[in-house]
Amino acid sequence: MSTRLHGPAGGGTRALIAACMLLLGLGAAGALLLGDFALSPRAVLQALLPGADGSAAFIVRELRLPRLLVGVLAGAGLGMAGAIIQSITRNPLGEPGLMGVSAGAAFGMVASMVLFDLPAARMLLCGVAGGLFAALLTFGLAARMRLQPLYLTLTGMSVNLFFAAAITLLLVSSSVEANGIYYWLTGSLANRTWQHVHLLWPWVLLGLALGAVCARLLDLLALDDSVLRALGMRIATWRLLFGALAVLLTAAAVAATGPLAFIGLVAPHLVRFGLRPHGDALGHRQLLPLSALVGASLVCGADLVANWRMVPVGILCVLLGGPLLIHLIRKQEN
Amino acid sequence: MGARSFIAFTAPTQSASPARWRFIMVGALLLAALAALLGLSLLLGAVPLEARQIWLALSGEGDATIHALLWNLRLPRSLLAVVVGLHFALSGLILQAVIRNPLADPGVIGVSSGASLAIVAFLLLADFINASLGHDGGRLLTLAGLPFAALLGGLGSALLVLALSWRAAISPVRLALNGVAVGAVLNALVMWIVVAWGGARTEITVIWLAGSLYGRDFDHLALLLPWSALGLAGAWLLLRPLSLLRFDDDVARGLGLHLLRWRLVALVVAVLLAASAIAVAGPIGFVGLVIPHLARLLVGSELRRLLPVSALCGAVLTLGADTVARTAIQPLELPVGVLTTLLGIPVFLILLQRHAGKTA
Repeated sequence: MSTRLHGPAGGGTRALIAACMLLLGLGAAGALLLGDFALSPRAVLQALLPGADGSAAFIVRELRLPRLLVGVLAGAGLGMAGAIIQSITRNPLGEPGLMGVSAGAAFGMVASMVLFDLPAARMLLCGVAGGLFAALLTFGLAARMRLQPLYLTLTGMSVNLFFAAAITLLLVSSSVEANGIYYWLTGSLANRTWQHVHLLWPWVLLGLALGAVCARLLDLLALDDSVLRALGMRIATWRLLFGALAVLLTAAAVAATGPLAFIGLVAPHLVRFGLRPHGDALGHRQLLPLSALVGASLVCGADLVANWRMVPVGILCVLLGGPLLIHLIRKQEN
Repeated sequence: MGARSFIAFTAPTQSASPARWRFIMVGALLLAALAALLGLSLLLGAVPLEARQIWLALSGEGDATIHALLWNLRLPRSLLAVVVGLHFALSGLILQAVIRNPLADPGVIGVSSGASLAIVAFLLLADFINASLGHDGGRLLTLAGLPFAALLGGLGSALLVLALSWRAAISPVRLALNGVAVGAVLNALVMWIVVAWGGARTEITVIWLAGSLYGRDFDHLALLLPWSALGLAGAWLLLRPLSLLRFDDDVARGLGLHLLRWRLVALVVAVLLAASAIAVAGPIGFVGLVIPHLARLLVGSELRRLLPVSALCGAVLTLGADTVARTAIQPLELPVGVLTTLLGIPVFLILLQRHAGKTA
C-alpha cells in the first residue's frame, strides 16, 4: 500500500515544497528587512553573522528573528496538529480551534496566570490540561452523535465559544492588567522574544519526530474500525495518544502566539489540494511534515501582511481559513 | 408529517381551558418576577439603596445624588435590559419558527456578527465624515443611524448564511455551522477595524462587542423604543402566517399562505428586532436561543401564547443577568453577554444532542 502512495506524488511534492519555500523565504526576508527601522539586505546579513554589534544587530537578532522563528514554529505545530486531528477523527473539518482545543488551552493558561500566578513553564502544562479537557468534552458530547463531522465540528465550535466567554469572565473579574492578554488572545506575533522561541521549539521538534516515527500507525488508524479490531489494535488508546500529541502542539503554539485559528484546517487541505490527484491517498509520512511546512509558510506569509498593515496575524488567519471552512461544510454530505 | 402537525394544530381547542389557565398563571408569575427584579435592580448596585429612598427619588423628592443615580443610571439601564431582552427573545422565536430550526438564534445564524460589522463600519465612516467636515457634534445623529446600519448588516449576513446553506431542505446543523463560520469571519473583520482604526475607542468597543448595558441612558432607550413598536407590530402581524409556516410547505400553501413572501417578512422582522437591540446593547448572546425553548416548556407550542411568554421570559432573563453582571464582582462589572453565553452554550449543546438523537 505504501509504495503506491509514495511513488507517483514525487513531482507534485517537489513543486509544493518549492512553493512553500518561496513563501517562507519571502516571509523571512520581509520579517527581517521591513519594519519601523528599514534595513538593507547587507546590513541584515552582517547582523546575522557572529560577532556583529550595534543597533542593527540588536534589531535583527533580538526583535525580528525571534518573531520570525515563533511564526515558523507555531505554524508548523498547528499545521501538524490539524493533520493529526483530521486523521484520528476522520473529519475533514478537524482543526484545533474547531475542536475547542485552542480556547481550552488558552483558558488553562489564562487561569494559571490570573488565579495562581504560575511561571511560564507551568503555564504550558495548564494549557495542555485545559486543551485536553476541552477536547475530551467535545468528543464526549459528539460521541453520542456518533462523531458525524458536522455535529462534531458544531459541538467543538460551541465548546470553543464557551471557553472564550469563560476567559473574558476570568479577565474581567480579576484585577490583572488585561490589555496585553486581550491582544495575545487575537493571535499576534508582535513583540516575541527568544523566551517564546525556547518555549516552542522543543515541542514542535518532538512532535515532528514523533509524527515521523508513528506515521505508519496513523496510516493504519485511517482504516475501518472493524479491520483494526481484527488486527488487534487498541484503537481508542492510540487515538487518545495522538490526540494528546495534537493538543500538546496546539497548547505550545497558543502559549507562544495566542490562538491562530484555522491554520490547522487550511494546511493539510492545501497539501492535499496541491498534490492532486494523489493528495487524498497521501500517507502520513508525507502529510505530516508537508502540513507543518505549509502551516509555517502560511503563518510567515500572513505575518508579512500583518507586519505591513499592523493587524494581529490571528485575524488574517481567520479571514484566510473561514471561507475554506464554509467550502468544506458545503462539500459535506449530511 | 403534515397531517400529524395539522391535528396537533387543531387539538388545543379541545383542551383550551387548562392550557389557557396555565398561560394566565405563567404570565402572571413572570410579570410578578419581572416587577420584583426591576425593584431589586434599582436597590442593588455600587451604592445600595433602600426602598424608601427610591420611592422618594421617583416621586421627585429626596436627595439629589440619589435622584441622579436612579434617573441617569439605574432606571434607564434596567428598563433597557427589559426591552433588549424582549427583542432578542422574540427575534429568536421568529427565527426558530420561520426556518424550522431549533438551533436558530440571531447569534448562531450570523445576524449578530453582520450587525456588529455594519455598526463598526458605520461608526468609522461617521467619524471620518465628522472629521472631514470639521464638526464634532452629532452624537445623537450617529446613534440614530446605528439601528439602520445594523439592520442592513444583519440582513445581509443572514441572507448570506441562508444562501450558503441552501439545499433541497436546509439542515439545521449545516445552517448553524455556516452561521458560526460566517460569524467568525465577520468578527475577525470587526476586530481588524477595531484594532487598526479603533484608536481611543478600542476598549469601549471590545466591551460593547461582548454585549453590555454599561452606561446606557434614556437616550438609548428612546432610540430603541420605536424599533420595539415596529418589531412588536410585525410579530403580531406574523402570528397567523408563522403558525402556518411550521407545517409542511404543501400544507401551508394549501391553507392559502404565500410562503416566500411571509418567510421574507418574518426574517426581516426577526433581524430588525435583533439588530436594533444590538445597536444599543451589543450582541447579548444566546438569549434568542434559550428563551423560546424555555417558553415552550412553560406554555406549549402555540404561537399566540408563546409570543408574549417568550417576550416576558427574555426580559426577566436579561434583567436578571445584567443585575448579576453588575453586582457580582463589585466594583468591577461583567459584560452581560458573557454571562448569557456561558448559560446559553450548554443549552445549545443539549439541543444539538437532542436533535442528533431525533435524526439518527
